[in-house]
Amino acid sequence: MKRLILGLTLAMLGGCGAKSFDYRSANEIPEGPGLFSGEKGAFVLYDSKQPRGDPERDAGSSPVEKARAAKFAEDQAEFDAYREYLRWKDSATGTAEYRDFQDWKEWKAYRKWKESQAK
Amino acid sequence: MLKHPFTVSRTGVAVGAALLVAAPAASALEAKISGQVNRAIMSADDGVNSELLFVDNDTSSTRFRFTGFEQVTDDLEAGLTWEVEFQSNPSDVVTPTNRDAASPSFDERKMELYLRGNWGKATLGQGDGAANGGIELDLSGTSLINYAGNGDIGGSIAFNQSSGAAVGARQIGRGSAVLSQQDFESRYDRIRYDSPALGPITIAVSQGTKSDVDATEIAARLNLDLGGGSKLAAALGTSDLDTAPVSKETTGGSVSWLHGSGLNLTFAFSTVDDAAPQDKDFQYFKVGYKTGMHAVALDFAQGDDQQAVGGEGEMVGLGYVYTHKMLELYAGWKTYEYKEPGATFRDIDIVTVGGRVKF
Repeated sequence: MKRLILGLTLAMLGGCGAKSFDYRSANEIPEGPGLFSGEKGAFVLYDSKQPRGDPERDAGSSPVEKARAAKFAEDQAEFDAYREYLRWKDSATGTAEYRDFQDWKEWKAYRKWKESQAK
Repeated sequence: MLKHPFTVSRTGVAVGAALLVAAPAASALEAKISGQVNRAIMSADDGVNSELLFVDNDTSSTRFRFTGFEQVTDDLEAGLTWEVEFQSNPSDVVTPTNRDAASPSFDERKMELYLRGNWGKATLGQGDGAANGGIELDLSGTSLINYAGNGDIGGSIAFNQSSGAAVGARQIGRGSAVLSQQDFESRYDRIRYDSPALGPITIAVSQGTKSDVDATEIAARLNLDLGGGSKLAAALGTSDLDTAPVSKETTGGSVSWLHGSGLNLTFAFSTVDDAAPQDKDFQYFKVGYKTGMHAVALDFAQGDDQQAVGGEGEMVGLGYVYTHKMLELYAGWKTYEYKEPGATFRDIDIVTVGGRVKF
């Protein structure tokens, strides 16, 4: 009789087209934040949706880990900029733009020398 | 217009960053690790011995897991779950006369891979049978300390016979259990199929081997959002373990209703038909209340004929759980009694206090 009642209840409620929800047993590892894993609740070993060098992805919960991840991202950005500069240098050598750049470098060196003389 | 080299560099950074963002493969890939520690102190009194026990709460054991998935195509996901537990003094093994269980070791829980699409989900490996958990649905928020699986805490403690002709061992919920919830065949190596949601209902079926015996399970589950914070979860299932000479058939289910006010009710039942001359029955009822970070519940369980015709075990319990982010603290009391034609037994009382921390 109990089986019949439960079966009928399931059938009636199933047919009413109501909204469902995602049941999670409280006896499994819970959703939500973790002591070391922070708000994410899990250590993300790899996530292809996060850009490489993203401090948000790489950072753990500790300030040391966050600082390390931020430094890594900063170094990577600088390295990308350096590679871009090398490409530009190869293509721009001999042009007016390149000569202007050399003048600008000389001016920077001159300014540095002037500042050292003033001390 | 003259292009300043620093401007070029910033542009380079922006272009580089854009390329890096666009760099991931066409399919999403994710891998994670998570886990928990769940420890408690049990005071167990079996009417003869009374002891304090330091345990790993088996309602949700200390464990960790790796999960990962890849979105292979727009409508096909492939993934895996690898979950193991590591328990020192499991609460379902220790007794007042066996306070230190065997040294802990890694024990398998899940080692499975799956494919999921709009056709449903197929899972292969060690994991839940299709009906596992069908007797244990519970929306009360107190499952860590009291739920239908009452053998998880003190399950191996035996009732001490006080009068009558000597009978064999009678334990709470393990071995010669008199109050087992009989939750189908738990976890084993199998292949399982879960249907896509048919409204709020899903159907699951599995076939595998457990202890060198074929196991087949089928179950239907209903998860209904009633609005205003009210929910209803229900399951109905059956399993067949092809033991010789008579197979073991288990039928059962559970219903748990949570009202938006926090009031909740849970009911579960199961019946086992095996080589024994009598069917083995189990019933469970719980009433609880949840508000904010607090949940409290009173529960009652009854096991009939599980070890002998006319044998009747009963449990009354009270549990409380406090939840704050990754921390859950709990306390509970349970009292058990058992009677059997021609024999009487001493009551068992268990008080448990502990906590679970997710890491």
